[in-house]
This record gives sequence, structure tokens and C-alpha cells, in this order.
Amino acid sequence: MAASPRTQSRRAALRAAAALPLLAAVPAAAEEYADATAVLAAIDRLEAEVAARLRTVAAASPAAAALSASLLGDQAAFRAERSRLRRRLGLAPAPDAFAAPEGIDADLPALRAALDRLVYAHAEGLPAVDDPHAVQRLAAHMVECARHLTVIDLWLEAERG
Amino acid sequence: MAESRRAALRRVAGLAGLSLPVVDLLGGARVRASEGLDLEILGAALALEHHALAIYEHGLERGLFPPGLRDYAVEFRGDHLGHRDTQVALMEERGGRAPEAKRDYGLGRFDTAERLLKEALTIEVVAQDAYLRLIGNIRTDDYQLAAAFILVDEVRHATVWKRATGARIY
Repeated sequence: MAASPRTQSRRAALRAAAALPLLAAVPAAAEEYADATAVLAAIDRLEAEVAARLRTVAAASPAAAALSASLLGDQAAFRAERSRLRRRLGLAPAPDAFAAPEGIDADLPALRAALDRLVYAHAEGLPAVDDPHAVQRLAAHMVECARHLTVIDLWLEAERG
Repeated sequence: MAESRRAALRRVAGLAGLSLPVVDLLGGARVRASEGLDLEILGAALALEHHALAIYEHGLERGLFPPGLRDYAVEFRGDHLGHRDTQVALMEERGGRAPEAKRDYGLGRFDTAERLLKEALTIEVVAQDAYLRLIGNIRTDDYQLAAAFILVDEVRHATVWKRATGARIY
């Protein structure tokens, strides 16, 4: 996909930011999104993978059922709000379902990695959304996804003893 | 937490001496985005980072973080140092003058692990709420991106302290 003027502007901004020696908050290889459509599509796809991994982990470990149900419930609310944001932004509706990767194992580190990618997609996508309300709402979803990520981190730390 | 989130936000905003446009934004008012507002938001965020750093320094210097949580406190202090330096650099790049830390945050009363952990949780939740309310009004892309990653850190800090203080995390 050719870079839009906005994407080029973002790249210039990120290059300028990367030149600051102390700008540790922004990962060096931040994903570039051309517009809100691309951001929301990435979030839909990554969220579907997290959901599939959560279900697999819960199926293998009944103790994780309540956690999985809670996180999947949050995701359902986020999907509903993204539909409203698409209407607000004049974007086409999302497809009904996103295919999750096949052959998923009940692997906690892989679930953690998928959640990490989902959090990053929200963070890196915000500057491409260009609508203050939509930015604020996606940031609120990002906060919840980051909480989910920390819950999994704490679980992993507990398992490592 | 005994103190409500709104009350904690008002208390910390008062301690930090946040500017009127930022206080209005935190209260839910609509304020026109501008380069000047970005600087006001940067200044407010820096004030919160100074306050958070003061709490971690206070607790670490006095050995108030329990052994199992001390490593988190060291990690989170490092995060806040990075956030502070990032935002000072962004502010100075835009020709603004970064606010300095206050000399006294009234931390003397946080003299036990329980009190300190509750205050650390409060400042992290306030920072999370503040960044979340302000992020949609940030005009410049690089600062919005940096603020997003800072916000992710604040959520991690708040979630860890919530669990440590016995609050639900999911």
C-alpha cells in the first residue's frame, strides 16, 4: 500500500522523535497505519487471535475459565463500540468474523505475545485515527487490553515462582 | 481505595499545580486542540511524573516496599524516569519550559508499606485517568504515540499495585 501524505507525515514525526535520545517510550519499530480503516482492521484481526488463544487456554485449564470469560466479555463490548466508531467515522462495517490462526495450543506465553501485539496495535494506531472521540475510546480499550496483558504477566510470573 | 478516583484526581491536580485548561479537560470540558494545549498537557503529565517519582523514591529510600514488591517499585521508578525524560525532551523541542519537581509532596504520612502502596496505587490510577482523558486532545502525532505507550506503562503499574493491595484485577 502506498503511503498516504498523513503516513509520510507520521513517519517524519517518528523519525524526529527517534532522534531524541531519551524517547524511550516509543518502540523503535512502530507499525505504520495509513488510516482508521487499517487500524480497526488490525485490531479486529489481533483481537480474534487473542480470543481464540484465550478459549484454548481456558479449555485446557478450568481454573482459567473465569478469567477467560471476563476478558472475552470485555472484547465483546470493545467490538460493539468499534462498530459504533466505524459508523461515526463513515467507515464500512467490519466483516462478521475474523479467522483465527489454526492449530493453536494452550500456550500462555503465546497468549501473552498476542495480547502484546493487540496493545501495540491500539497504541500505534491512535495517531492515524484523527478523531478525538475515537482516539479517546480506542485508548480506553487499549487500557483494558493492557490490564489483560498485565494479568497474564502476573500469571506467568506466578508459574515461574 | 477510600478516596474516590475523582477526589484523588482533584487532590493530585491541586498538588501538581496544573494549568486551568488542563484542569478543565480533566473535568470533561471541550478545549480546542492546539500546539499550546499540547504544551499544557505535557506540563501536566510531567507534574504527575515528578509526583510519582517522589513516591517511589520515598518508599525505596526508606525500605517501605515489601521484599516481594521492591523489584516492581524499582522497575516502575525506571519507567517514570523514562516518561519524565521523554516529555522533558518533547517539551523543550517545542520551545516549552519543563516544570521542575516540587520540593515537598507531603509524603511523610506514608510511613508504612500499606499506606505507601495505597498512595502508589492512587498516583498510578490518577496518571492513568489523566492520560486517558487528555490523549484525544493531543494534536501532534509523536506526542500522542509517546503518551499511548506511557499510558500502557501506567496501566501495568496500577494493575500490579491493585493486586498487591487485594483489589480485583479482572
